[in-house]
Amino acid sequence: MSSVPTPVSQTAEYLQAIRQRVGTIVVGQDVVVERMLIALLTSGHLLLEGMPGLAKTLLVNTLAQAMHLHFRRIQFTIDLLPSDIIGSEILDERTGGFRTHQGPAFTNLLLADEINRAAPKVQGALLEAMQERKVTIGNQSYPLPVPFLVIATQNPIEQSGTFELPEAQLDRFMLCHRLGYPTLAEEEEILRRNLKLGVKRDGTGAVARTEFDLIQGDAIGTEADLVAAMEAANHIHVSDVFLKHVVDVVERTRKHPDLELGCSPRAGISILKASRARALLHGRDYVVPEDLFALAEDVMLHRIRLTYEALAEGKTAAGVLREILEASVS
Amino acid sequence: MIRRAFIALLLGSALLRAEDAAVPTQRVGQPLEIRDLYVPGGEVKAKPRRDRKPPLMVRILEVKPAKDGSRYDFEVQGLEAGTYNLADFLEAPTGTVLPAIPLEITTAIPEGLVHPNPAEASELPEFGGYKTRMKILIALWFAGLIAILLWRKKKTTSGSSAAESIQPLADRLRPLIAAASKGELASDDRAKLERLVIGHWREHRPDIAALPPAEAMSKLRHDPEAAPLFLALERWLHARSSETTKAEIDQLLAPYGDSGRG
Repeated sequence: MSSVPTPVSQTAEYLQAIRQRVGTIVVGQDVVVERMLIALLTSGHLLLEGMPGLAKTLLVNTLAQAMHLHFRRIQFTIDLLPSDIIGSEILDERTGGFRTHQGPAFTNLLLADEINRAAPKVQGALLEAMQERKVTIGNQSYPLPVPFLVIATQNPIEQSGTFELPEAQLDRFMLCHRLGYPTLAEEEEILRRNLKLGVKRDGTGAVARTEFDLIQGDAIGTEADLVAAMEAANHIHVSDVFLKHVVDVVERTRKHPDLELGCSPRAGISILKASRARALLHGRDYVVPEDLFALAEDVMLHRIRLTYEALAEGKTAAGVLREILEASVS
Repeated sequence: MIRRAFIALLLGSALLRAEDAAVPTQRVGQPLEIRDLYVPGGEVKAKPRRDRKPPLMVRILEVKPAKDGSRYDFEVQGLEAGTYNLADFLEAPTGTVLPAIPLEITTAIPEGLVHPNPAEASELPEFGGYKTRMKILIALWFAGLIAILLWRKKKTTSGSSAAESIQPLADRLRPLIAAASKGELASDDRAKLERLVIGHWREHRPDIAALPPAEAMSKLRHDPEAAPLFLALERWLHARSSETTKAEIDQLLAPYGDSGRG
């Protein structure tokens, strides 16, 4: 890495330190941490698809603490209202006037747990805030804190009583990562760590400690470091050759006979941004095809839709995307 | 004298009336009943109508036994005007001689009227009915299905033949490598060259080709054999300020050019 300029290597070290800090609390899930950092560095948003119990909340909480970011979590339910997210005007009995109560959207890192359980108007309110980075309460607009990153989760199996996010709203998530179960070794390590947790005394009583109690220590770096990292990601070199690769893959999704809906130009932009951030995380000052291939599934899979014929033949979007990527290098 | 003349007149008119009554008469199509007609001999029957030709239709309404014969009530319907002998339309047992039973069928249609065309059985408006139609539809459906299957097979064959017609990877690489050594590669060609180089490694390393594309790329960048060439190619094509010389490019691409000839 001798050819890598100093600022890039410094930023890469800062980001690597964050990953290591998260790794001390959460076992495995290194790819998810990478995706979260990519979303944070590029001001995108992340959708996590995975079964419950895969440490999503712990992961986001740890990352927020490690980066000294404000963190909030909303559990989406069917009876949630838009005002429960963005806030509302409430009557102040002392003054007789209205005062603004800012909702949990006013944070740096917002974990929207099970986003598909809320009614479409609530999803719409959050997705609007994600795009415009400001919310309107009463007649007044309020900018959201920066950085502002939404990490939404949804359960891919349980569909009863849920409202599936439409393609247009899915497109607003820069990345959609599918969380898998940990490997056997990781699972064993999780259990070993859990055995050592013990109990936490509180006055005369005690409560069993959880992994959340391990989130301690000073934040790594400052807000200025994060801003520098965001700027560094924005200066990562993108060659004309890489642009051609991106255009080629995006074009192939539009022409593939098994796809009814191909990738939008926003998908191409997202790949470029995400590739830059990934290159920075890997200590490079230029993007390479590996970035494109590594991020293609997370950036493109939720943006494409299979035809009815392909569905009837038992094909999957992931399989078709793999075909496209393989065809692009043969 | 006058008295005799009156009696003669009465007898004459009575004879004339009797003569008139002896020949029953009816219009065409109207039933003519002849009651209590004595026919000597065995019992007679109406001749069955085998076709439309007989001009009379005869029914025997009742048969009453009488000395050496029977008394019959007939109902006769004339189909054509004329004078007929009813005996011609009856069947008698062997040995029985039927007397003449004259009758007359009249008509109101004036003479010389053109006879209507003979009624001929016309052809049915269409051949067969529902079943035939269904059979035709099923036959058409199967013909269509076979046509679609044949068309798809042809399309697949032409698709695979098109794929076969694509040049081997090495043949596509060679002109790009030649252009690269001359420094004449445009961005498009550089992108093609890089994709073909990745394809080359996937072709020569089945263990890497079996992996998902993302993992394959990662593996290539860490593979002892491929990584040096691969990383050098990346630096040449993607780095901000590539200082790769022409000699280095030739050296970098030499293995790919050689493999095509082998």
